[in-house]
Amino acid sequence: MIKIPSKPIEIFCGTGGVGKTTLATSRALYLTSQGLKVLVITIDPAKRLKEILNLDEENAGVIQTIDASVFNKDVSYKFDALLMSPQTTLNRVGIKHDLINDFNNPILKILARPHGGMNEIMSVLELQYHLQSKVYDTIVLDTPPGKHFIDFLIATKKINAFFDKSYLDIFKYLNKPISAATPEQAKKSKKVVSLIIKSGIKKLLSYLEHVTGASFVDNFINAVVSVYKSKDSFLSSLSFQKNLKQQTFSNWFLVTSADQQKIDEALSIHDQAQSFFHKDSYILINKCISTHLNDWHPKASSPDYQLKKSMLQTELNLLKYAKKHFSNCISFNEVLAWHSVHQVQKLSEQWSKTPHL
Amino acid sequence: MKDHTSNFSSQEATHFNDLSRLYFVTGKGGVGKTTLSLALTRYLKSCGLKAHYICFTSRGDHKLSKDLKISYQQLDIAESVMAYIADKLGSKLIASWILKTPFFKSIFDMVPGVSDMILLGDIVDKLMKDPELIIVLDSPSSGHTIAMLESPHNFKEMFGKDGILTNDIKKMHKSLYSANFFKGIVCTLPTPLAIHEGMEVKNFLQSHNFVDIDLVLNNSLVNTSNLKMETLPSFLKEKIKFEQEIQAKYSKQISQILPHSIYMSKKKIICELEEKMEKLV
Repeated sequence: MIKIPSKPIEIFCGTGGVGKTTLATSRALYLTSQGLKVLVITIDPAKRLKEILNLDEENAGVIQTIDASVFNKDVSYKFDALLMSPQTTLNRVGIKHDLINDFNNPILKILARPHGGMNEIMSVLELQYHLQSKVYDTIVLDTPPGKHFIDFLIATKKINAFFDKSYLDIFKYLNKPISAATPEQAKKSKKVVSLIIKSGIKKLLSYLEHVTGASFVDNFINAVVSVYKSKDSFLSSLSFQKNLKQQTFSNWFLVTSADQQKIDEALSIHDQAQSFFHKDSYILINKCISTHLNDWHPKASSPDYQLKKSMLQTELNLLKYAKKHFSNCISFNEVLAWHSVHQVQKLSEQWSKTPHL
Repeated sequence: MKDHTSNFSSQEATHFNDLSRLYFVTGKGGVGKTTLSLALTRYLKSCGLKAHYICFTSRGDHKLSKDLKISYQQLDIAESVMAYIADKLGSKLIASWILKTPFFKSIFDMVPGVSDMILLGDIVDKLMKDPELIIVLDSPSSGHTIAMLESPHNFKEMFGKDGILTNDIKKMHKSLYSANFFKGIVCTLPTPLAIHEGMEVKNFLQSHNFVDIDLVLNNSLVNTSNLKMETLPSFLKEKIKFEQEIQAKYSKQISQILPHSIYMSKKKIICELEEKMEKLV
């Protein structure tokens, strides 16, 4: 029996280095072992998944099938893995809207680099694509740490703002048609143009040109226009944001680690993702050592006592915090292992535990 | 810097001529960046230098800095961006107007690297204006750091040869890449994955021509003082043995090892670390 019911999408978030990727992979392995068809996606440009699963960076953007026997030689099931490539996602959108040449824009290409700035927005599109294809029972999502995770959460908001109607007027002014205008629309847009000129868009673009140089402004306008032409793809991701909040649709796992000193960072991620979490969201405490040290009772005031206290400090604080804010908590014991496949295997066994608190 | 080294022998004074101007402390979240940054700032100050601690975002601990007698500065992205644009256009009013338009707002939203780059430029400016100043930058976690240091290169490519921004980026790079200016300190923990990640950040920085980068291993149980192996439980013995193997394997890549501290108070931990900072300076 799966102790934590699986959902169409399961999101692992948390600060850097807590073991999000390792735990996400162990969850994927566990769900696969229970007979589900699983895809694990990492949208973190650091791509830890690449090392854990021994994937090829060159294959970023392409689904790769993982044989679970790399973790446990006695089993024969498989699951799929994907390293996010914003460029691949953008290309797919380009093909769909017949805009391949437009998407060849130098600015779009730079922005679609892993650290170029569009990673989070493209990730939402990628996820939406796989959810709609309905190939998988569960998609396990490994997210980037900190600020980039927040960028992911608010990506659809940004998309929405970007395609805001008032913003469209700039292109009408610039005579860059987004779609064939009916005479009536053309008439209306003329009115709008005169309005905009009054409100100073011409001035605004001249400022931009002054700061960035003329060639940039030209490329930039073309980039924005081509994104606009494919706006249906971008806007279709808005429903994804709504779905994320639904309890039947998503499992949220806030990953923390007992070897890290920062509870306030986890707290800040928690705060920002609050509107997405629901009643059955989970906090995971990775690298717990208290069970390992259960039978050790150094004398009070001895140096060993002080050592034990200092080593357990973070774990105990995390538990306290977990009790206050979550109804479900799972502790994962620290695994001392050189190779991450061994860690993933060991951790996947711990998923059959019942959550506590 | 000459005026500040009067307490030291001439040999030490020469040593200080090689000091970096910007100590960029990075690494994954929770590896001890803030602790290390504060300890380093205190060490530099104890040498009589004008060292400032600057913190990104809201991670900073104002009270702790005060307890440690370190002046605390938090960077505000919105303010930096506004000041920069106002400076370029010669008007605060136009700058605030521009930043309020949906057009520019969404540019800054869709391309967050622009603001990061302006912020970095602001820090470099501070250092150019005051030749005695040393800044210890408690940087954002490594992924964000990479984006921040990569964005000027991306934008230089995007903006082409002309324009104020390209020229400003060139100017900023000229300072950032001048001798003894930038020093990267990548903080990490004693697990194979964490070290691997730390080395990746180090390689990234070096591939972007930041040559002076130290990898620092924090929270090492092996180096905790007064440990008596025979009284420890078997799990800890195993853990220490594992950490020893890790240290041996990566000894060439690791510049400095900082011990796990048995103190509970942050202030005490930082003061303990302060004594181990000389090697990083």
